[in-house]
Amino acid sequence: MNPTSTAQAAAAQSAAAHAPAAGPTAAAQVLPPPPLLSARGLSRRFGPGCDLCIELTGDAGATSRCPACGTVVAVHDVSFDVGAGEVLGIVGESGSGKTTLLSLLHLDTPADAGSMVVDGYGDLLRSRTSDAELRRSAVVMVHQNSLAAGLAPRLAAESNVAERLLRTGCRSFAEARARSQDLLAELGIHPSRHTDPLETFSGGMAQRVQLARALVNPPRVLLLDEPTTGLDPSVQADLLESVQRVTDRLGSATVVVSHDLEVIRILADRVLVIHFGRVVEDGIPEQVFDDPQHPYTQLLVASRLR
Amino acid sequence: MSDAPTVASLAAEHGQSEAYAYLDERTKRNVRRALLKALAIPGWQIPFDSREMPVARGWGSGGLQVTLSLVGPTDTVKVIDQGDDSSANASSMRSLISRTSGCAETTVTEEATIIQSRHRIPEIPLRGDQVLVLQVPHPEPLRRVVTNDAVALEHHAERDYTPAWLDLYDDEARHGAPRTGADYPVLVEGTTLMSPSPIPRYDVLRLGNRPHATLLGAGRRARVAALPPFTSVEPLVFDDRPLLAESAAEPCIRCGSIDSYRVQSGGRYQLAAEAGNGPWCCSDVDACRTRRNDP
Ligand SMILES: Nc1ncnc2c1ncn2[C@@H]1O[C@H](COP(=O)(O)OP(=O)(O)O)[C@@H](O)[C@H]1O
Ligand SMILES: [Mg+2]
Ligand SMILES: [Zn+2]
Repeated sequence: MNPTSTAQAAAAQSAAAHAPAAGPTAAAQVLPPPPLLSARGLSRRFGPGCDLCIELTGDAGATSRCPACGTVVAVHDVSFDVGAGEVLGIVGESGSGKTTLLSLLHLDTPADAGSMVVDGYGDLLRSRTSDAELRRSAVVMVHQNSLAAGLAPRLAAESNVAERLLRTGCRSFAEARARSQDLLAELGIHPSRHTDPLETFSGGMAQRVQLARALVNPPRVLLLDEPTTGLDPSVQADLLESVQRVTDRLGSATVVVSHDLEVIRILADRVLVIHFGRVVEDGIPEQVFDDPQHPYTQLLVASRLR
Repeated sequence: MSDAPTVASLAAEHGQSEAYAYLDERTKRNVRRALLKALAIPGWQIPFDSREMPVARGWGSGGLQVTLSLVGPTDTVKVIDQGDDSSANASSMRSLISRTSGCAETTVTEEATIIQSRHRIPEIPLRGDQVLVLQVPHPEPLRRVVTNDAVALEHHAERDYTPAWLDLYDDEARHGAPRTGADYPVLVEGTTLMSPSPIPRYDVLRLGNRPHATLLGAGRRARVAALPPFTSVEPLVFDDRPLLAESAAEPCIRCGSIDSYRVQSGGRYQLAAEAGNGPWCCSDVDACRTRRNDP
């Protein structure tokens, strides 16, 4: 694949998508930079599907499982843009489709419909390059459980971070080491622990290592799945602060999903509320959490306050 | 080419049967076919039908099958074990090869047409009309970091050696040096990762760009690999962490060499890692003797 031509194609594509009315000169002068990540109509269901699936699920049927054929409509028609340095928060209860949505964005599961344009890479859902290769360079996920993240427990923490640099061809030990150690330190891991085997780290510390590993080759898109679930509250706040500082500096487009409103309130610049696989509300956190419009969001906010 | 003698025709001339050189002609052809494939893809591991040999697997049965599939009555064979022609294992393999094939034996590097070796490369430079056969215990260079063979094969197919680089990084970060002493992994032609067999780093640095072919045989794992003449072979190292040859504390007590690969005698094996505390001497006995006779 030729990265330059793909980048140009993607730039042209997103410019066209976001400026249908503007002429070429106006576009050059007035338009904000295109979003790093632009998702449109993402859908995924599990099951055979029938003509009634969409009609009978969601708010209408108060379920994501089609009563006619049993298919689970896990994600339906989800669209959003995320810009450089922006954090999109997605909140919803367990089973609402958050993990499925992230797995579509991470190219772990094929989407039934929709597109996912990443600046410089085009529509990743239609790319012919191998998924693994794109994922490594463009879209990186921090998993809820660091055991699921492909980390090597017996290797040093810094080795787990450096792996991403080695994978992309860094052949200078000094450079790989400096970049890995700097990022670990920035994320609050004391230098005396950088060479300790990862298996000696606590959950919160391992999560920081996973984050450093995700960011050491700054990705276009960073996906965080329930980044603080299972950590104790003081560790949570600390980790969230680190996440915020580093994502600000690197300018990746970040998508964070959580069932925890507080996490989303702290991290997100914009919020989507997802319910039965559909977006039921979106806006800035203050607006969504202080003046929820959809009954489900109202319920979420009320249960949080209780 | 049509009147060029084949191993079989030469054997017939010398009154030898089909089952010449211990193996039947079919088995030898199978090994040679694997070797041709191996020469076509330098450094790549090619499976072959490894036979039971009169030496235990892991004691040179792979190297022996390679040698026997090539040797003819006009050849001269040298067998060394860690540089030494006179070890029990080397002498018995040498006599097995010469008795079953009628070839000549030698301990003099220059005289040999085929040199079978365990864990050393002769220090006297080999010529293009000589062949080096190395005995390989573990042909898979990723075995320490990728335990599943199928997964290792995928890494080779994609030329993705990140696990090996990661292992190297972890050693450097935690121990300040690679832990791998002998059997240091090498990149062949810049693309294929290969185990050079447990030769010292001194020899790893002399593997590439040679006028002769190097054939590697692993009997237990039933694989061969090959380096055709003038193949590029580089150790897997970071740009800022070059591989250094082992250093010896003293010159050879016999020939006085200061740039040969020397080991301390008195150990159980002539490996630097397991050496004793006796005097230092050349591991390559023939090279040492040559220097003494012809200073
Ligand atoms: N592989 C699958 N096969 C069948 N149903 C699935 C599969 N993965 C998820 N689902 C269903 O899709 C819905 C959304 O699940 P998920 O995305 O894990 O939600 P969340 O992460 O918000 O808890 C659930 O009803 C779940 O049972
Ligand atoms: Mg989930
Ligand atoms: Zn000597």
